[in-house]
Amino acid sequence: MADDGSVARSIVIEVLRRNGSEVSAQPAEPDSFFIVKGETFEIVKIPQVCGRKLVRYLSRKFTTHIHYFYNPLMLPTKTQEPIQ
Amino acid sequence: MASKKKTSAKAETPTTAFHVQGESLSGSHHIVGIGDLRVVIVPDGSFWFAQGLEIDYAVQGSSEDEVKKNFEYGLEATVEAHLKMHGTIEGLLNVAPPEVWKEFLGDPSGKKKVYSQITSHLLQSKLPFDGINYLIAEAA
Repeated sequence: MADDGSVARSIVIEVLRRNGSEVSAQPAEPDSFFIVKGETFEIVKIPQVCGRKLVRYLSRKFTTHIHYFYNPLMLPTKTQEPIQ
Repeated sequence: MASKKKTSAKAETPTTAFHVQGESLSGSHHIVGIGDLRVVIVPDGSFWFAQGLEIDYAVQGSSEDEVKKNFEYGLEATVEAHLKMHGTIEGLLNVAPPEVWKEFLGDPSGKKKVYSQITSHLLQSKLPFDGINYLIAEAA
């Protein structure tokens, strides 16, 4: 993450996945990904570095809190097991 | 997937979309047209960002030309994905929310473009090979 609000692709994809989206690379086109969450899906290019506006767009479109992209340590846990 | 696209800076005509479908031996043919879609292109740090208004779709690019190419490719690919999964483009026809219109139309650095495309999609209903030869082992 940089001061200009940009976020690395690896973090963007991890945050989307951990918030219920499925993200898969499209081999036919570089940097192109199929993203689906519920009834919403689209094919969009996710570059190595995503600017603030792209991050906000993906956050809004795939209903993921924006703060997770900038604080990935706050992400929900990977497992669905309840905490004892 | 074949396509004809046009981007211009003019026009205040309403956005239109159509989808016609026909069947043949080779599969299901779809023609999809999107006319006069308003797309606002704004700088975003060292990148460019394009946001569709009448269709809520957006992309990033490293230059103004690249962001246009990415928008055209992504929208066309998303149209095809909708055709494959639902057989229609209705799920794609969602207008961007009011706060997005306000943000992008109010951005003085924004370049307002009008985008149109007609794309042809052939969705094969047959297997892409002649058939399957099942080899069944003899009973032991």
